[in-house]
Formats: sequence, structure tokens, C-alpha cells
Amino acid sequence: MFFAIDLADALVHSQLREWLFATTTNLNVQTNDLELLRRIQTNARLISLIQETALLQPADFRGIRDERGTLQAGAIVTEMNDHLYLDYIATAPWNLIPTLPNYCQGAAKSLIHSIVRESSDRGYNGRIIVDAVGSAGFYRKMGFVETGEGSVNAPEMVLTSEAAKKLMEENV
Amino acid sequence: MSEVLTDRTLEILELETGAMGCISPERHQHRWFQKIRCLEGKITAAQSPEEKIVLEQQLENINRIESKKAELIVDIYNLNSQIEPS
Repeated sequence: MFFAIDLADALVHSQLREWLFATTTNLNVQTNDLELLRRIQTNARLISLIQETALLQPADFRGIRDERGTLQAGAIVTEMNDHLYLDYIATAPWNLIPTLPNYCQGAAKSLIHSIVRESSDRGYNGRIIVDAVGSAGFYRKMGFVETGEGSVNAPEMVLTSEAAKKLMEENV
Repeated sequence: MSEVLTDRTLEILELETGAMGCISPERHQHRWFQKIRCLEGKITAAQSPEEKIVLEQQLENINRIESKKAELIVDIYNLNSQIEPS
């Protein structure tokens, strides 16, 4: 069970500081898995960006907490003319390594579902755009499609109105 | 690679990719310039020297923060430039 957050309050700021601390632990992990290291390093930078932006623009923060109140995924969202744009999205650092204590599955998926609902409520028919950094497979599986913009490793991807409707129906 | 990934569940893909998204360096730079243009307009229209000083400090802060963000964003894109597309 997840709970959506639509503002960065004092608790969120404190939880984002916990994330930053946890990224340090992740960055010291002993592994030969270069892909995992790349994800850890990217995740750490994204968390810095989310934390910095959440301080300046708290109303743009979106997050997901689990039933214990742990912040499990976070994003910065910008309202555009006809869609919501995901400036940054990251999962909690412990969600990159399944053996870590706070690991939980499906937090990013749940966060995207809540942003799709928000896009729908704001009159954008669920439309969302994201530049998927090394994670196009995940977004494609959710129903996003490449717009043709961006690069091979970070394509710009859109969740169309039709795909958003389907996603919301599946999640009822 | 993408054909292999279609067999994975969403939860596995979330773990394997980190579900990460980040504004492109070009789009970030465009937004940064928009913010600067907006503030420069306000500085020009400032009604008093005090107001102008406050706005100039804001401009300095924005440039400092966005410059730091730009470095992190470029870093993210460089880190992910060599991977096999998912």
C-alpha cells in the first residue's frame, strides 16, 4: 500500500536528507556490477537535484510513502501547456539493491500512477512526458512511447491520453 | 535488448533500470534562460535601488543554483551515454 504526497514539507525534506545519506552507503557498495554502479551514481545525482529543487519549489514535489511512512520514490513535476513534465524522478536509494532493509517493490510505478491521475484531474487527459535516462524499458512497459526527441540512451517518452486511460483502468 | 525486456515484469524493470528520469541539458538551459530573462525584466522595471539590489541578489542565486544543477544534469547524461539502450 502506497500513499501519494504532493508537497515537500518539513518531513519530506528530512526524508530526502535520509536518502542523501543512504546514497553515500550505496556509493561505497563493493560490487563488480558496472550497471548497478551506474544506476547508483545516477540515482545519487538525481536525489541531489530533487532535494535542491524541492527546497526552492516545494509545490512541484511529488512522492510516494509506504505504509510505514518511509519515502520510497520522489519526483519534480512541471505543469506545461498540455501535459505534466517529469523534470526528475528517482526511487529511494535502497530500492536499487533488494537486500537492503527498506527495499520495497513498485514505488516508482505507484508514483507514476498518481502523477497520471493528477494529469487527468488537471485536464491533460493523463499526458506525461519524461526523458527516460537508461530506463526506457520501464517506461515502455508502462505504456510510454518515444517521441523521437532526446537521445538513444535518454529518449523523450510520452504517455499518451489513450495509454494513460488504459493505465488508469488497469489500476482501478 | 528491448525484446528481452518485454518479458520482464514492471517491478523487475523498475529494479533493473532504476526508473530514472532527468530533464535534458538543453531543456534545462532553456528554462534557466527563461528565469534569467524574467528576472532581468523585473530588474529593469525596479522602482527603487533597494528593490533592484534584492532582485540582483535573486539573479545571482538563480545562476549559482542552476549552474550547479546543470553540472549534475550533464554528469547524469555523461554517465548514461555508454550504456546499451533498454
